[in-house]
Amino acid sequence: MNYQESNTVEPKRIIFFCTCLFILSAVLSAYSSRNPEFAKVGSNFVSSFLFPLQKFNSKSFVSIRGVWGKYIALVNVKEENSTLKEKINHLTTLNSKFEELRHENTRLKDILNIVNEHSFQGFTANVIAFGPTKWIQEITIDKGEESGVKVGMTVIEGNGLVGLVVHTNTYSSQILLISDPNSGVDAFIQSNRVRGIVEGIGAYMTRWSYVPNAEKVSVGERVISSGLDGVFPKGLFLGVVQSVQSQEEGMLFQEVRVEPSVDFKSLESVFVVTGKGNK
Amino acid sequence: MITSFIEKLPQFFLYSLLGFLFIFLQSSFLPGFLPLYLVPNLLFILIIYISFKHKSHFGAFLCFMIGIYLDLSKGIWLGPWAGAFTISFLLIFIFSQKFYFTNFILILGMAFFAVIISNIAYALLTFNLPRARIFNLASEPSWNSMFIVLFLEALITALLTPFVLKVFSKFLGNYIQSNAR
Repeated sequence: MNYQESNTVEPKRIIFFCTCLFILSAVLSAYSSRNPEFAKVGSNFVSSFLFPLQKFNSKSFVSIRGVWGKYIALVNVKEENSTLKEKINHLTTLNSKFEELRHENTRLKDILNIVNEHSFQGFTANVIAFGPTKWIQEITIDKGEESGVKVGMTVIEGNGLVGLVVHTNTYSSQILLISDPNSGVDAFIQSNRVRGIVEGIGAYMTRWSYVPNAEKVSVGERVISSGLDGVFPKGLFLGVVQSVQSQEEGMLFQEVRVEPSVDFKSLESVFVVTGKGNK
Repeated sequence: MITSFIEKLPQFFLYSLLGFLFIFLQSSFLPGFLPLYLVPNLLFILIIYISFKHKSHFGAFLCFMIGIYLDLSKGIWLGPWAGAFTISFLLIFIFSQKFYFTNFILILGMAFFAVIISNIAYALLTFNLPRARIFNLASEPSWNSMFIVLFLEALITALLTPFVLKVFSKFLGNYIQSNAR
């Protein structure tokens, strides 16, 4: 049936139909970018559909990782005694669980340190998904409006600043990473207070822009948030200077690459900052 | 045309479900096993399958809707991926009028270029949108690094396409229709 139908359709009509759909998508894009609430209605529906899967997936990873890394590799070793095999499997699973717990403990300790250092209030959340495409660098966490997450809240991790809440649903939220080109953080070098703006450039990388050519910047120096953008709190670690490329004479600014302190590709737990001060 | 759409509602729901499943796989499940750069764009393969299998208004509409689901899953803009997938559909539709896509290499090449063209369409559609709703210090992406990331994505997706299309063909019906001219 499909075969016959597809042959009777005039190609010009399909091309016309596609053009109409393309124009519609352009109009929708422009409209939704100016009216974020428009996209939010449908987004809530989609996220409520995906959330249980994502949540289940993030929970089951602890055991799946152990099995994948330590069991599958051993499956083909035929000589193993079956009793020993069972014991090994059991111990391997246990071991990987302990290993995961140890990692989680370290991560949470790091987060706790940074939270205590800055007297932040808030709560931890698990990362349940990464951006499905490479264009927007974002993560999804398992806390949403129900837990008190609001658009504009800062999100940190043990190693420093992660990003900002840009979208909330009932049970989950989207965090735009500081490595996304839509992101910018007013920052300075910890040692000499030279100021600039840490911008995302995609591919989980950042650069430090608007650093005057006359200022001395060395590789390895720590870059921290200045708090002057009114978005992020002061003193959050952003990364270290990776490379400095002074521009030709007459140019105002130098090109500085900053290696982010956070490994965005392997984020698992984050801390959502709801406020500052003693609990 | 509307009657035909109503007849195809069960198919529409099936593809929608697959769309959601693939969004989940590529955003949540696969990143647990693979480095983020190596996660294939499964949704594209579904778009390629639909473009081959449903060379009709229905196919175009399906691609558009799957793009809408992807946009909604990100919650930032509504429309860019819908447009990009529609362009992919159109591209494959036009080429499939001329060639038989039975050859492994031809499918691989087609998939590669469909991913690239689709990403270019996405970039064009979002180019002029207000980039920063919250940040007022937004920058442009590093095109060099984005190019590498997208090239890798296109390559991995293209390499997987012939195999995944075979799986689709087994469960959803053969994608090759002999209306090339």
